Order: sequence, then C-alpha cells, then structure tokens
Amino acid sequence: MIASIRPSPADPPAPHAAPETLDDAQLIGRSLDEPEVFAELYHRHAGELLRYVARRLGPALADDVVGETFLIAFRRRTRYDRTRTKALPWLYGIAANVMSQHRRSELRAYRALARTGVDPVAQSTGSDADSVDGKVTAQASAPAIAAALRSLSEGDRHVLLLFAWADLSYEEVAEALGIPLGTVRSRLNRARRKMRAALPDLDPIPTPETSRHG
Amino acid sequence: MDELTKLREFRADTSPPDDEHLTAGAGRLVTQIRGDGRAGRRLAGGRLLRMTVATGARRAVLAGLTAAAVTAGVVVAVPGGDSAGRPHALTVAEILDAAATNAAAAPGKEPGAHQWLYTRDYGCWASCRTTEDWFRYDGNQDAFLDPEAKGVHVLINDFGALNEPGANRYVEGPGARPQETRRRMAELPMEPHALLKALRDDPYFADVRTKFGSLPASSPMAAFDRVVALLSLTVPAPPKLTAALYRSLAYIPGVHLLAKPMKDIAGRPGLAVEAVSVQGKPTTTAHSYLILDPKTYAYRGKRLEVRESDTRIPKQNRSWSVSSAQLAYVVVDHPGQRPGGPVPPPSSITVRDFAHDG
Repeated sequence: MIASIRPSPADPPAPHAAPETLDDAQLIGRSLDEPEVFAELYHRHAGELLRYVARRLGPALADDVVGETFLIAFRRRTRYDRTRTKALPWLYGIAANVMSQHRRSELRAYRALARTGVDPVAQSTGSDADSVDGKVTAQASAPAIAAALRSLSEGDRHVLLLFAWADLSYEEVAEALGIPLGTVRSRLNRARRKMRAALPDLDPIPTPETSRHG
Repeated sequence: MDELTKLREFRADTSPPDDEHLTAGAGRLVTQIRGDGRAGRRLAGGRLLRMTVATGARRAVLAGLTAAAVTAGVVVAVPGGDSAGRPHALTVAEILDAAATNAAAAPGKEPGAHQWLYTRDYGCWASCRTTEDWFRYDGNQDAFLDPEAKGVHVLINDFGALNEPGANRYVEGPGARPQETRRRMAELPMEPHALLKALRDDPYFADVRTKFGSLPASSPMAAFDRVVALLSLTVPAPPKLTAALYRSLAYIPGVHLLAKPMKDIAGRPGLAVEAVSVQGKPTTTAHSYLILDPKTYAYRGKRLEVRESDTRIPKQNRSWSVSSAQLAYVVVDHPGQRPGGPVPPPSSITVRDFAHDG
C-alpha cells in the first residue's frame, strides 16, 4: 500500500532510447546514471505543478516550491517506486510537503479573500511576492469557498484540492500523500461536506453520510 | 451545480506557465542540482560534526587567534602583524592554513566496510528540512527512515554489484561511495595547483557540476565547489588530504574571506569563504560560500546565492539561495541507528534491491 517501500526494479529501457520516449519510471531509472535526463521530468510535469501551486499559494511562491519539489525528487530518485509509470502523484506528494511550510501564507490569502472579495493570489502580471494588489474576484461564491478552504484541516485540504484541482484519482491521492485509500475517501467526504455547507445556493444533494447514523 | 464544480471554478483563471517560464525553471533546477555537489544519492547537502572528532590538540592550535576572531569578526591582532603593531585582517590563506593544520591533526581512522556513516543535515530552499541518511562505508547500501511509517521503519537501498569498481555507473558525488572516495582521495597530489588540476581532470571528482549544467569545469567557482564538496566529507577523507584541500582554496582566483561573519543556515556562527561567478547573458551572478566553524575552522555548511539579472519572468525569483548545514556526520554500526541511540530491530528493516536494474 505504501508506495515507497516496494522493491523498485523496473524493466530496463533500451540503453540508448531517447529520454522523451521513456515513461516516468524509466526516465527516473535512467537518471541514476545520467542525471541530466531528470530535466525531462521537469519539462513533463512542472507546468501542471506550477499551476496547481500558484492556484494555492500564488505565482510568486510557485517557482520556488516547484523548484524545490524537483530538487527533492532528484535527490530521492533512488527511492522512487519504479513499478509506477506515472511520477506525477509522487511529485504532488513532495510538493504538498513543501507547501505545508507556506500554510500560513495560503490561509492568510483565503482569509483576505473571504473578508474583502479581493484575491491577493490573483496578482496582476509583474507584481512581486509582497504585492498587496490583487483583483476583485469575478466568482460570486469565491469568498465563501475561500472561507471554507480556510476552515479545512491541512490534510483534508490536500486531499480535496489534489482531487478537484490536480485531477488525481483516489488511488493517486493516496499514493501522493502516503495515506490509505479509506482515509482519502473519508477526508474527501468531510471536506466536501464543509464546502457544501459553506455554499448555501447549491442544490441540496443528499450525501451518503446523512443517511448513515453515527 | 455541486460544490466540486464551484471549487473547480475557484481561481480557475490561474494561468499555466509559458515555455519561457518552464525553460527558466528547468535551468534553475539544473543550476541547483549542480550546486548540490556531492549530494546525489547523498541527500540534502552538508555534513559535519567535525566536533565529534575534534581533539584537544586541534582546538589548541589557534586558540589565541580564534578567540579574537570570534569576538571581532575576522579583524584580529596576530603576532608579527605589521611593523606598527596594528592588527591586520586575517587573510583567507591564514584562515585556510589554520583550518588545514586542524584538519591534519584529526585521527582519520578508517571505518569498517560494513559500518555506516550517519548524516544529519539541515537545508533550505523554498522550505527548510532536516534530513538523515545512512551510507554504508563500502558504498553498496544506503538507508533512510520511511517517512510514512508510524514507528521506526528503516529502508535500505542495496546497490550491490552496481557499485563494484569498474561497473559502468555514474558516480553521484563522492559521498555516495565513502570507501572508494577515500581510496581515490588518498591518491591525489598534495601540492595545491596539482590538486586543483587533478580534481578538475578526474571524472570521479568532477561530479555532477561539470556533467550537468553550464558552469565551465575550468571556472574558479567550479574549482571552489569541487573542493567544498570534498571538504564536507569529514569522516571518510584522509586528514592530510583535507588539509591540502583547505590550502588549495587559497590558490583559486578570486576566492576570499567574507569580511563579516556568516551564520550557517542552522544559525550557528561561522566564517565564510566566498567564490563569485558572473556568466551568461542575461547575467547570472552566483555567490558560493563555504562556512567554517569560527573556532576550529572545520566544515559547517555551505550556501549558494544566485541572482538572475533578466529572466523575463516578471520580477519573480530574480534571486534565490540554497543553504545547507551539516549537523552530524559520524560512524555508527547499524543502519537506522543514531549516534548513541538504540539499534533498530531487524523486523523494522526492509532491504530493496537496486542491483538488477541496469
């Protein structure tokens, strides 16, 4: 269940296969001998990670967080479970860990948005990390969503946003965060329930939890 | 419309990075990996605790000099200063010579092939973290604690035959194969110029920084970083060679002592020796620092500061830095064992075979 403790043999790729023809696991295996091919992994996945991190922390922090994520990944590449051909969940997991150090900043922005309707994270191009300009959000429900996101625990927020923004499956979220599948389900249920409660305009949808007792 | 749809609309206009942005990011990663030096399989850079092997003799060598250095930065009175008796600033050569003298006095006992080098480092980039690793002295295994386990779970990567001498395998920094590194270091010349040349020309020591990235192998900063990488290997390095490495730094053009003391990233006071590199267009200026214990001049950590003059990325990340501090680097008998700590039971150890993937 825990990805990182599996033995990691992978079929060896053809010795001279071009990096772009390898899957992530083969690429990581190749990078043990040829570290420069690790840059290919960056080109493959950094775009998605940057957008995800920027959406949570703002563009100013995204470069550093994603840069560090890949550096940590590079250093841990001997630990990668090469039975997994897609490295993105692994990278999201590392990023979640790095992002946790910026939790206050993330929460501050949700709070500001919830109070003022101005999203500090949606910066105009060219503003720097300390910029106070943001923009008034166009989404009417944005302040309520921000307030709800702020109210979630760190673990619940990771699960919810990896699912909703990074489009990871339950299994991939479990792999990314190193938690059991059942925990992913229960965290996601709890987080969605809180979101729903915060958004009164939604159509009422009965949830599995409401029909359960206890 | 449900809550997930609403959530997916939230900040949905966050734009993905363009190609230029990604290229700049990849370049930054490459620079960092290069600056990471001997890391590779060795995790977060840095290693230290010279103190654990410090001897009274070593500490005494420059006691008078260093006491003043601690209180007065690096401007201290030394015997035989100028004719007017004024204090003069210690030169980088004097500091490095003192470091060399201390290093040469270390016991330098070679670990057993199946003993483990325990390292604890503290490093910062976008975030800060402490990392612990165990490297078996023969280089065939490394170990770490499973971060996802509730109790103690030691994971061992077994590289076995991949690390046999002559195996066609990229060497990721000398720290990954301590025994071989010691043997190779012992064969290096002691004369500073010859030593620097040997480090440049030997692929084993050239390391990632010349195979990966754009810093020319012949540049002073590359020479500086190669030496710093080896200075951090305080346990496997032969003491005389460490001494020669310290002295060689003074022969690298532009390498100088920073006028002010510099704390390492763990907050411990230190003296910094600096190399600067300016290259490319738009210009990238890099400052590489070796941080030394202000009393013993032993290796404490390092820092890389990079400033990009025009990245075409709007004002973001125009400068960044990476630092590491070596908190411990000592010999233990078992993987997963901390100095003076308990031996993890066999049931908590999982060995993973890496020997048949190449």
